[in-house]
Amino acid sequence: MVTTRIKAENNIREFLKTHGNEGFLKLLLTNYLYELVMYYLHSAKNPAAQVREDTSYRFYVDGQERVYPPEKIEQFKHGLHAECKKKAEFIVGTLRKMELIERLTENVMADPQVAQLVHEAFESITERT
Amino acid sequence: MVRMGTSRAMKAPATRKWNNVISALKASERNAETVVNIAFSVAINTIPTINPVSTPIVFGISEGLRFVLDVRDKGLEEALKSEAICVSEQYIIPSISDGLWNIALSKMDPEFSNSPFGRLAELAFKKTMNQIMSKGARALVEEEK
Repeated sequence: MVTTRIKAENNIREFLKTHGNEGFLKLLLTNYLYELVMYYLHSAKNPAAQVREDTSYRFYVDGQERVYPPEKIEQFKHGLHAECKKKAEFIVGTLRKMELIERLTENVMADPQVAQLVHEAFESITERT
Repeated sequence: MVRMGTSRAMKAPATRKWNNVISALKASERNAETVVNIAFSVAINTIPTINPVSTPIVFGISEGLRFVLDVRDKGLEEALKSEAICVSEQYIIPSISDGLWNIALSKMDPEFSNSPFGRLAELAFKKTMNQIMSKGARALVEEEK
């Protein structure tokens, strides 16, 4: 189905009416954190002989050297996504407390003090959620 | 970047603590919450500041949020005109997302936009805009299922 300009416009309006600005932030941050964690979980640091100690190998092969079935891998990805959503909500909550949500349409990075607050809000991804 | 046969993987964070992430992945019943918490905690602590991680997506947030609010208040045509975004009639949604990200890029220091985090932010930004423009309110609901 080809999406027309009118449909795209209506969809944006419907999204904002239902979820508001915070919904936009939540979706974008969840998608970003998921990309970030998948990036880190597909890393390698060892020479080929020690590939078993790489996350990019361990993501697909269990401790007994059995390849996870595709549905298990999908289930795990779903779990990772849910955790990223929790962290995204935490960041949005921190930005709300800092009263920064409404200012995010501006170039917040141009103001060093505001930029610092935004960076601090992001640091919460290292905390347990 | 590390070569792995025909594919490539990013280099793991340079710390022995990264072994904790590998152990969490090896666990007989691996737990997504544990893996995410340890991975972010260890990885982010190996970089001097959070700025390279947060900066690219903050530019995306500003550009995306301003655009959707403009569309709500003035309509799509006006919002596109004020941002000078060219729309492909064949690929309306992807071309809008692409145009918006290019505006964000133009405001960002290349140090951030050309980094791995910049590329991840681009993927997330375009995915988000595409989801909202094609699914409306369902975009967030479906993500939560």
